[in-house]
Amino acid sequence: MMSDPIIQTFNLTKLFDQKTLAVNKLSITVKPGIYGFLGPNGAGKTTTIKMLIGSLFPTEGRIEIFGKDALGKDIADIHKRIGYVPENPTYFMDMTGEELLEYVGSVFKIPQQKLISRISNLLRLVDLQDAKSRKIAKYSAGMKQRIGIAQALINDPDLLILDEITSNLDPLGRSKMVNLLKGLKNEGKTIFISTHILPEIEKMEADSIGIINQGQLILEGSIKELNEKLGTKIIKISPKHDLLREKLKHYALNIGETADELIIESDNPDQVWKIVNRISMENDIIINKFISSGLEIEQLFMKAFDITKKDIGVENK
Amino acid sequence: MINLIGMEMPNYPTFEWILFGIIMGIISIFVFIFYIVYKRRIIEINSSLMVIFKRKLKEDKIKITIFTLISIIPGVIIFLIFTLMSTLMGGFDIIQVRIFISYIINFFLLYLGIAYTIAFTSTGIINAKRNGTLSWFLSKPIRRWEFLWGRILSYLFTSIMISVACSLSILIGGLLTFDPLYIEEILSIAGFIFLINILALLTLTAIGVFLSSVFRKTGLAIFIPIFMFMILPTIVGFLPIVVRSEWPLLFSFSYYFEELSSAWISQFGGGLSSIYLAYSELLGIDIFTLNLSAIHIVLILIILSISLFIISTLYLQKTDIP
Repeated sequence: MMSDPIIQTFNLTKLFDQKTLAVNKLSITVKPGIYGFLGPNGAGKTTTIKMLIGSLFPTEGRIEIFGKDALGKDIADIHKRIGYVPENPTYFMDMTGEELLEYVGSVFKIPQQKLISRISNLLRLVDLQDAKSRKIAKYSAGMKQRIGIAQALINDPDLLILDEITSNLDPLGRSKMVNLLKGLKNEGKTIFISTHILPEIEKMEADSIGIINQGQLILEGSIKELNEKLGTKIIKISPKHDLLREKLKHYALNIGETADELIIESDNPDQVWKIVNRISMENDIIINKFISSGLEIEQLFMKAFDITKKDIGVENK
Repeated sequence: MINLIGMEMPNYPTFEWILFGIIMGIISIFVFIFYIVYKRRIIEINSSLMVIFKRKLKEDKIKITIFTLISIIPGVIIFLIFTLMSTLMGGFDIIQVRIFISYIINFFLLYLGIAYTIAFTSTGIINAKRNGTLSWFLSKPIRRWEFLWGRILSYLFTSIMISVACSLSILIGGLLTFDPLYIEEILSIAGFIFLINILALLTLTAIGVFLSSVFRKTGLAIFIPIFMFMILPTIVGFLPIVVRSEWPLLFSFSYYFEELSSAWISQFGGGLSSIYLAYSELLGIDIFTLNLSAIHIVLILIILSISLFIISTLYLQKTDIP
């Protein structure tokens, strides 16, 4: 089913002080679901997000959110349907969690009765009911991020923009956050999340990803589309046999191993299968496992950078 | 006019009720319109302005309380000093009272002004830019000008609190210390102090908001008011007489406040300008060439404040918030 894009940018460019090109002709399309906006530190992710929320003005290009011009008169209407969580939230530390939610509710002019029940639901959702009367200054990093999510959800937004929200969290906090975001996705919200921590995007089951480096979009699409585009497969072969490793190294883009498997990265899995089949027949090797699968996000990310280096000469930092 | 001990008294202006009435009238009209718009929710965006305004007041409530309490100090000093003087000397002249109050007000405004600018205005917007608060607000249905004016209104509220506290303290201190014969004089002095304070704080708010909107680093936004308020007049004061020029004082706001204080309260100047006068009298030359009347100074300060508010608003509308 085709769905209308939630966010679209067209040749978005940001030049700081006439010399630093932070974002370079970035055109992305975010459809409903989870969109992972990936890139190394300094790639231009936060600059892009700040342009999306209207904090920075693009030097060139256009932004459409919910089909409306996000740089024009509709900005206030768009912002009523957006929730934003910054990388390092510095919410009002003198407030308690509950007071913050009440305050943000007043910013959105939510009627008092509705606000009370929504605050209660959100505190339950982010598991901060017991800490609602505590000052935010006394919250842990994970609790601050969770109250950040709650404040971003107070207006029941259609789009959540999250900037590196998991980078300061411990593994348990990250796991909770991933589950929370998956739940929000199931409620029909679109989540635009920027991060450089790739396994989380994998765990969130992102519908599509955009990979950015030095302000330029390198790859964009669903994991499936990107795998098809790159044509590279990961083949797991068991048992790991020296002969197999020796013969396959000429046909593999990359070769590695685990305790009992050979891991082959190849853009021609059929040929790999033929070779494995022939060697196993000739040498009486019983193949227990031959699984060909697409690249995982981390591998896609690295692959995208390899291609960029070769094709357009962009150097990864 | 001859005073009680037979000295010729300067012709002090009576309190300018018309000017006071105009300023109060403008403030009342603003408050009234604001109240109506807010209550009836005629324009939705104005509610956002109130959200920012109320939040800023809540955030600054301790600072506002401290500054309001500090503003009582001049009244307390006057009460203590004149009680002591009347005990020791049996009485005092109203001219001495006016000069003394003028000194105290100049001294008070100099330090309170700098402290107010640093504590509230010149760092407020910069901090909001630096710590991401402004960026966060902009992701909500709040416009840039609403954020700025919500904050400006809270600063103006603080200015009014400080001015009222300072004038009331002097009024009460004066009423407790002086002969009831001087009640009209004391009312006039307290009223003029209110006008001087409100004009000074309005100007300092405008300067602070402007610096805070334009600069990205707090250092410069703090240094510039200190330079204009303290360092510049000192530099001018240390220049050799023959090359001294008063035009840099046009950029020193303490000069304007001193001049107002001189024109409305003491007629001899409170600090710097009286030193110049002493110099010029000593040397027999007229070095004090800036003869701005009170109304000129009021106009300069009001026009400057309005211009800076407009420039700050336009600048913030168009500038990137990192």
